[in-house]
Amino acid sequence: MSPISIVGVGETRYAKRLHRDLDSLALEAAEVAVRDAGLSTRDIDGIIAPGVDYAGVHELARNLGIDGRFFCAESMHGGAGVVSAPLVAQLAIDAGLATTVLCVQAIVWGTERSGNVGLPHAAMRMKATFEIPFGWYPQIVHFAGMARRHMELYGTTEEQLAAVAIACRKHAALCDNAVMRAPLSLDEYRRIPLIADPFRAADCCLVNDGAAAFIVTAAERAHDLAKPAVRVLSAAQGMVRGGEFSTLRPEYLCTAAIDSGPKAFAQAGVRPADIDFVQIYDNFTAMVIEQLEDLGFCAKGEGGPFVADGRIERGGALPVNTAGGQLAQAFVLSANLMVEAVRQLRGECGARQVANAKLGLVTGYTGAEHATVILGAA
Amino acid sequence: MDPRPLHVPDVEWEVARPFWEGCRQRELRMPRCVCGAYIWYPEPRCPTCRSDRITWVPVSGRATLFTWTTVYRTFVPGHSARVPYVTGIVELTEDAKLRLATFLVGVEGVKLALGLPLRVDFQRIENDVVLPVFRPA
Repeated sequence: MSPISIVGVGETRYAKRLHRDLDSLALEAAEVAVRDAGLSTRDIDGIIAPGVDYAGVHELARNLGIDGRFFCAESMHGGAGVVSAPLVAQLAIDAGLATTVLCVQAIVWGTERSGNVGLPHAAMRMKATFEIPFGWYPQIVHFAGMARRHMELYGTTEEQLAAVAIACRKHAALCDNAVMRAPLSLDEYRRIPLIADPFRAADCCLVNDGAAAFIVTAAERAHDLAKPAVRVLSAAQGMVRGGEFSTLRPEYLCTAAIDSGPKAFAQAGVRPADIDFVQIYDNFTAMVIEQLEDLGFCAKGEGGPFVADGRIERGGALPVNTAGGQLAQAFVLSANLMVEAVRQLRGECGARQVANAKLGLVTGYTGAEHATVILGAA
Repeated sequence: MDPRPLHVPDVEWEVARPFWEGCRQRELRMPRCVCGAYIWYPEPRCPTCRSDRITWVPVSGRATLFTWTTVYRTFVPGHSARVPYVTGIVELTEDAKLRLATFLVGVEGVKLALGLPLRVDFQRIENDVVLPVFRPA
């Protein structure tokens, strides 16, 4: 396939509650990304907007002034849908179906779901029958089960989970647009009540409102635009056995990064040791540890020690979630992680800039699906 | 919208009805294909041989502990009286792929560990709704 680049990024303000309509947030992030690229909204001829429904996509196109035909697609779901968007955009660009593809994700869970973020799971009949009546609900319980088994099998500790939360808070403190900017100490972490052992609120991603967007175009077109183009060196999708029900997965302690990760590294022709920073879909602290293992940054079971002692903090061996990730910046299903990766590779991140950042990796997933992209500085 | 509270399963759903019938008779039943393979969660066809000749057969109710969590804050109103509760995944001894999410009971003061032997017990939560739960064997 011909090479592609990310040429513009945009975000709304992130906050616990913005009391704004989903479509208007998506539009704002899209407009910021288009301006960032030095493009006009009318240049957009492709839209990938995971989680925006039929009417929302066409309203977005109408509001952007896309007058006539445009390409529209979505592959995978949730965070995997966002991070695999460059792959879909590349297919469309290669096939001549689009030239300039907007990828946008908006979320208003802060306003809509402050009570219970698990309702989509309750709508799945198999879960409603064989899981929820047994207290196996919502997501925090599913992932606490994985964390507990990881701790029992490999000796992963509470301090190592805390290290992920503490790193994200440190990074968010250096980011103007982050929901949770207060620092967190290990003592403070320990005093937070358990919700589902071993998880506390500090182990869980935020529930907030906001939107983020990025623009993908052919690498050969990217040179003429406003900002240094960030090269998409690879974009890969992955699937894990057992499907949506984590209880049934044969590789219970693996995400589908075991599938998307090796493909992404092979396509990009790089190894984990070459990567300068990663932005990992951090729905829970333990899942950062598991994905680092799945991606080959360390062996299975060694993720706990890997994240300890500041190794994933700015200035550490492998900075992770440099704007605070979804634990501290905002939960935008990895779209904020894509934006941050692009800004790091353009060298725009000021106090939180990773020195000499040339190669970055981003992940997104939901349930059985996972996507990994590797991005390179211009 | 289903008006049933979250903690109560639909015991009349045809896909799972034999499971709940078994529980009312204090018997744990699992779907098994004529080819011998257990199928879990229930599926209309056997993923191994594609047959649809699947029947629910009694199993021993013996299991081992696969993982667990103690839940201190529930999002299910019908579980608020149970908090804190221990829920987990158990592997039935008949076949390791038969993993059930379930309440773990009688575990106060028990040091939980992977592989802990367990046996099924039954808890009536409504007239016609009996849940299989697991306790140390």
